[in-house]
Amino acid sequence: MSENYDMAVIGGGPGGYAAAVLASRQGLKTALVERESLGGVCANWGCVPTKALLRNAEVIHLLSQGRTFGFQTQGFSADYQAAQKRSRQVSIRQVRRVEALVKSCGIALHRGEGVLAGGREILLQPEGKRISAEHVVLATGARPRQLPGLPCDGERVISFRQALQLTEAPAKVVVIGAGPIGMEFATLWARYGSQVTVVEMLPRILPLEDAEISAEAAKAYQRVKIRLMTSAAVHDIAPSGQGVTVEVEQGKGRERLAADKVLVAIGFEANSGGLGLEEAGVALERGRVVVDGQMRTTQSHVFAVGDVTGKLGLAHTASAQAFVAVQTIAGRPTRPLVYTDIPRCTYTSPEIASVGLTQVQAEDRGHAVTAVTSPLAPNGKAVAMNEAVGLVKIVADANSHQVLGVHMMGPHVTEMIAGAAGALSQGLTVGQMASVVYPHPTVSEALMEGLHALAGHAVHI
Amino acid sequence: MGDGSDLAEIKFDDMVLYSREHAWARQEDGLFTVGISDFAQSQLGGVIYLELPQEDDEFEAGEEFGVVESSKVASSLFAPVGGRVVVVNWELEDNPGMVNEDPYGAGWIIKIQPKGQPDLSRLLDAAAYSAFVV
Repeated sequence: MSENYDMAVIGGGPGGYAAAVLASRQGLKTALVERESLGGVCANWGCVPTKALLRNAEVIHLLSQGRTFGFQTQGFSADYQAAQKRSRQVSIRQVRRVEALVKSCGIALHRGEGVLAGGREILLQPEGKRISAEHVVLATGARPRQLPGLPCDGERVISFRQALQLTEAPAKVVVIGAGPIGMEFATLWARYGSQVTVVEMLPRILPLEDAEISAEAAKAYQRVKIRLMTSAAVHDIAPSGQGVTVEVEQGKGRERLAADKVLVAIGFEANSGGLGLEEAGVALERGRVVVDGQMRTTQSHVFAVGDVTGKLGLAHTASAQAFVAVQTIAGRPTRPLVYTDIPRCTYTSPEIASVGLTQVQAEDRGHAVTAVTSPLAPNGKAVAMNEAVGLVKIVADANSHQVLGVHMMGPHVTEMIAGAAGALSQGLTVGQMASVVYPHPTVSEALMEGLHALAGHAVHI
Repeated sequence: MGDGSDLAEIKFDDMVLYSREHAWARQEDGLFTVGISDFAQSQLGGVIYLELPQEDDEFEAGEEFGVVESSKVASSLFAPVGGRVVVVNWELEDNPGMVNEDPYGAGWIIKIQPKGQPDLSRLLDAAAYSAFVV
C-alpha cells in the first residue's frame, strides 16, 4: 500500500515549501517532493544570492565616493571571487533555514521528481515509489527562456544560474533583456569594471515599469557606463576566439559586439512538462498551468502556485498563491489575489519599485488619470546620503481619487513599496494616503510630497 | 535553563574547561582549542550558520568572537580565553551541523594563542559546569 497524504506538493521553492509548511501547520499530513535543493530558484539561484552580490556593488559604489565624504584612500581592489563566495554562503544559509523549517514541521520530504500517475497517485522518480494524496499542489517553477535558435551553452552564452557561478566579472559582457534580472547583473558587473552592453528588443529598458521610471533609470545606468541598446534585436551569436560575437540589429544598422560572456535574461517558461499533467486532465495554456482564483486547476483536487502558473513570476507571488491554495484545501474562505497589487522590485542602484498600474495601463483601462512626479532632489535624507537621484510617481483616478499606481526609483525604495502596496490593496484614495504623517527625514517623504501635490497642498514640490 | 531537553543525555567532556557562556577550551601544544558545549548545541538546535572570526583577530577573555545561528536563534560566541586566533575551522562553513554532531571534536570552532599566561580562574571543570547548567 502506498503512503497516503492529505496534501502533496511538487516543488520546494517559495510557493511549494510555503504551501507545505502552511498545510502541516493546519494539521494536514503533508509531503513535499523536491528534485534539487529546497528554496527553489529564489534561495539558490535568484533573489537571495543576487542581493548578496548587489550588496557588494553597493559597497564599491560607496567606496568610490570616498572623497565626497572626506575619506582619502589610495584606491582599492574589489575581489569578485570573494563576493561570489559570499553570495553562495548567503544562499546556502537560506536553504539550510528552509530545510530546518520543513523538518521541524514534520513534512515528509521526498528527493526526486513527482509525476501525476492517475487517480490520487504520484509517482516519485527515480526511485519508482508511489504516494497518494487527497490534494496536490504543483509548484514546479520555471526555467529561463532561451533565444530561438541560439540556445545557452552554459559557458559563453549563459543564464542567471551560470552567471551566479562566475568567479570573475566578465571583462566584456552583453546582457540580452533589460528586465530586472538583466539590469541587476548589468549594474553588478559595471561596478566591478566590466564593459556592459544591454540589448533590449522593446523601445525602453525595464519595459514593465512606468515609462517615466524607464527613462530616469536609463540615465542612472548610463552614468555608470552601461551601454543601453533599445529596439534592438539579436540576430546571431557566434563563437570567436575565447569569447563570442553578438550581431545586433538596431534601426537600419547592424553591429557586431565582441564579448566574453552573453547573459540571456529574456523571461521564463513554466516547468509544466514531464509531470503527467495532460494525462491527468490538468489544462495548460501556452505551457502554463491554468488556475482559478483559488489556485485550483481544471482538476478539482490539483492546485498550482508560483511560476508554473505564469502569473507575475515573483517569489512573493508564489508564497501568496500558496496561502490561497492551502486555505482553499483546508476549506477556508479566501479572496482571489489581485496581481496588479503585488509589488515589483529591481535591486539595481538606484533601486526601482512599483505597485499597481502604470500611467499608460491606467489610461488603457479607461481611467481619467491624474499623475504627479515627486523628485528626490529636494529630499533631505536622500541628499544627506548623497543619493538624491530618483523620483516617486503616483498615478490616480482623477474622478474617484483612488490611487492606482505608485512607481519609485531611489535609495531604499524596495523597502518603501510595501506601504504603498498596503494602501493600494485597500483601495485608498489620494486624500486617505495623504492623511498619513510620514517620518522626517526619510526618503518616504517623496511619496508624501507627491500625495500632497495631488491633494493640492504640497510644500516642497 | 533547560527547556525540556533531556539533561541526562548531555555530554560533559572531562578534558576541557567551560565558560559560563557555554564555550569550552582545551589546552593543546600551547594553544587553546575552543568550541561550544554539548549543552549549548542541544539548546540551540540544528546549527545552520556560523559567523567566524579571521585568523589573527584578537579577543579578550569574555569578548564576542563570532555568532552561531540555528533554526531557532542567533547567539553570540564568547571567547573562554583571550588571545589571537591562529586557526579557524573553516570546515564549519560547509558543514555547520558538526557543531551539533560532535561539539567537542570535529565541531571545534577556533584555536587561540593565549597572550602571556592565560587566566583560567573564571573557567569551570566538567563537574562544576554540569552543576551550573542543571
